[in-house]
Amino acid sequence: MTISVNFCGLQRKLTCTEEMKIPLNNKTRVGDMLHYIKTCYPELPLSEDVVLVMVNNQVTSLDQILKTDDKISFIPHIGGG
Amino acid sequence: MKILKSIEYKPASVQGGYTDRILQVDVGSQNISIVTLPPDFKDRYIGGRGYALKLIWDSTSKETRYDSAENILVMASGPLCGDPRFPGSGKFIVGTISPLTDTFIDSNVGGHYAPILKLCGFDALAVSGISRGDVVLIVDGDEGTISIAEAPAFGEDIDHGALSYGEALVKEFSNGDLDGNIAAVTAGVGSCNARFGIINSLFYDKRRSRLRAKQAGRGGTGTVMRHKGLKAVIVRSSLSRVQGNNPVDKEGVKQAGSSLKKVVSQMDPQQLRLASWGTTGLVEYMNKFHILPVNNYQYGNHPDAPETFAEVFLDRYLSKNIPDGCYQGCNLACAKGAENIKLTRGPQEGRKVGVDGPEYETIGAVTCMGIFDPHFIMEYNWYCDEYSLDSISMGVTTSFLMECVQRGYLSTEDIGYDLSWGNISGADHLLHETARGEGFGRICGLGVHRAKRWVAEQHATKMAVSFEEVMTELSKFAMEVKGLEFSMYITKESLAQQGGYGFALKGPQHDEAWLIFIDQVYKEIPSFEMKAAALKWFPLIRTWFNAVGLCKLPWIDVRHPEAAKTRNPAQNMPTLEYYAKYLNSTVGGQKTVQDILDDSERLQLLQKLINLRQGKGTRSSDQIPLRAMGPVFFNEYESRADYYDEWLKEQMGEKEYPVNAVGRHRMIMEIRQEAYQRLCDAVYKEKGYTLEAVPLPETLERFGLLDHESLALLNEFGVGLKEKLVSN
Repeated sequence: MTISVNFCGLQRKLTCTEEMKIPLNNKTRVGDMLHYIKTCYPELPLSEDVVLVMVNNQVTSLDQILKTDDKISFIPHIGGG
Repeated sequence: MKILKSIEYKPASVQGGYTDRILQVDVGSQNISIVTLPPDFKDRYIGGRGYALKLIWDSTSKETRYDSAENILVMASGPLCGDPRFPGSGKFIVGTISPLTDTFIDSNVGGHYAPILKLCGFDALAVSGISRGDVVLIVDGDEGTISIAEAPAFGEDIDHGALSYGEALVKEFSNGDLDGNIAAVTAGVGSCNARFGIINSLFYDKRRSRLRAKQAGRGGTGTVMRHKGLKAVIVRSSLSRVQGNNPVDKEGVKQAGSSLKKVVSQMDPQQLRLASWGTTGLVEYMNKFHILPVNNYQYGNHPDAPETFAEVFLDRYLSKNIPDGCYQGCNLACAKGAENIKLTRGPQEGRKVGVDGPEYETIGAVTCMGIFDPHFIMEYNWYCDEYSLDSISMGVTTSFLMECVQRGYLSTEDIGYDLSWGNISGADHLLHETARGEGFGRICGLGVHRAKRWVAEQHATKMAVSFEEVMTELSKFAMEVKGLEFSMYITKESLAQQGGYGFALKGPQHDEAWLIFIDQVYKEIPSFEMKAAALKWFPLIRTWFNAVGLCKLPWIDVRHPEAAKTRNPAQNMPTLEYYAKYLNSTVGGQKTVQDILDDSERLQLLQKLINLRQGKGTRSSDQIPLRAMGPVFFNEYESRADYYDEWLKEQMGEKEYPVNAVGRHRMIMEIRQEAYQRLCDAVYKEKGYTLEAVPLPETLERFGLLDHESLALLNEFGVGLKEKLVSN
């Protein structure tokens, strides 16, 4: 199966890409994917105090098992001006 | 300048953040007076918005409208305004009776004006009366004079523009030099012709070698200023702003400021990057979550939206490597700007100008018209500032009129030119007409609430149909509450933010409550009770920022690294503790965050009383357009049918699910309307109001606001001392 990781704003600047398609086995968890992205892009700020991890635009647990065509994104805290 | 009236005075010194003086100027009689405030005034009304509320509560009546001579235009700082050692300390509040809402409006704005006014010896300026001719007020702390002068003329193009006129005026005042010890507020020709005129706060930026502008944008404060015949106010003081507040604990202020600056410099580059991108970075996230207004809030995202993302403005327009900011010492420095932007449209075509912005709201106002052209956004930004038109209300009113065209309530013949979605030429034409008060611009300048009535009257007469029926249809997509246009966030999928706009005392501006992400995206407040609690807590803390003269962004848009470990991360309590320390170190005392919230609640209740008096305080005034609740028309439902069908299935559970799309659409809207009414009940209970949104006497009593006058007002709404809590 394949999932995608979308990069917004600062993340797109740092990775120079908008989207990564990643082939996975069937038991990959969100946390595993987060670890992989941190390894690929160590300069990306992805800690808990900086972003929320979302799958298909829904806040998710790091234990959730990914399924095909899932879209992961990392959303910063926005409080409104 | 021809001086009409002048007095000499000795500026009061600032002690613990206050001067305890208000400058009162009646531009009609040209009376200038300095009022010393009673000792307990600052304890009860704090500053900024609180001072404006109290002055207007005392000096106006339910008959007062924006153009009444007794209406007061208040510009007030607060005790924490002015010290560069703490980020975001250049803010002040403009408060008055609004030409849009007919009740109290407050609009916060940055710059150097309020810190300098304070050093001139005044916590606030209150302007009443109406001058026969245009005048300028000059408060010169260095010379110890306060003067009313005949507004000098510099030629029509300059005289009509707030930015151009401000620069010419300041140069004339200071013998040709621009100077960091001088600031001004101005309003241009748009404020003479539209109800949503703004006040520009001008200050000298030595890095850019020009005057820069921030705006008190909402509710028509500029319209009031120009109606009074007041064209500008200049303030001057060369006193040092560092420790200018004379805080009781200088070291405490330094520590609080250093702590916050450290968080900002550590976290902002990893989060929203406001210091680099300003608020333009929000566009992408709003588009991603269907919150960016497109075609008058019909849709929340658009394939062309990336043309308005932060990188576009950063790469093409914004000056890089200049530490911006609307006040010295702020390391969040989100006030981005661009230089030498060539105007390609309008009466100033060909001129190269400096643009202060764009901010997210101005970009959203343009996408709301279906336009995704970044250069037009830059020009629209500059012209709105120069004319002194609120870029939000201008965009929302234009969008409303565009939708009237789409749905057949207006035609090209009615308007005189094409005003369909995405038509830059039409939108641009309407902007200049509105500023000049010409052609169809006279209708646009009324704002959505009044333009809606005009359209309904025209259409009902032309088509021989019922005026009321047309009004009902138009009200579905006329994006205003209490007479104020919505700011630039789609609320369809966030019930909490529907309330954030509906319950906002001034009308639907997000600075009282912005709950979309914690509700719709992060899903941190799922129940009605949790939403109601948030709809009490956030407006209270946000009101406090408006009272003390501080910017909210270093608190709300830079998450402290320790916040994730707290019970409610969105409240960002670790950062709020720095604010409490700054307060106590400046004014003295040991206030907690809860004490701060209590102070704020008194101000909110006072504003509620003004709203009740002005006819905008009950449940009916908190109702929002159906467009704000959900996909009011079928085309909006169709654009996200899969999403809405899934949403409906979750709501229905085991109940029967409509087989056809029309039935599903109808049911969605019925559920949404019911939910909003349940939210009203929950919020009124949380706030200590009746179900009609009237404060209970015991609620007023708790904050020392129950007196003969307020009780008589409650009685008008059938609430007496016997009323019980809503929950009983």
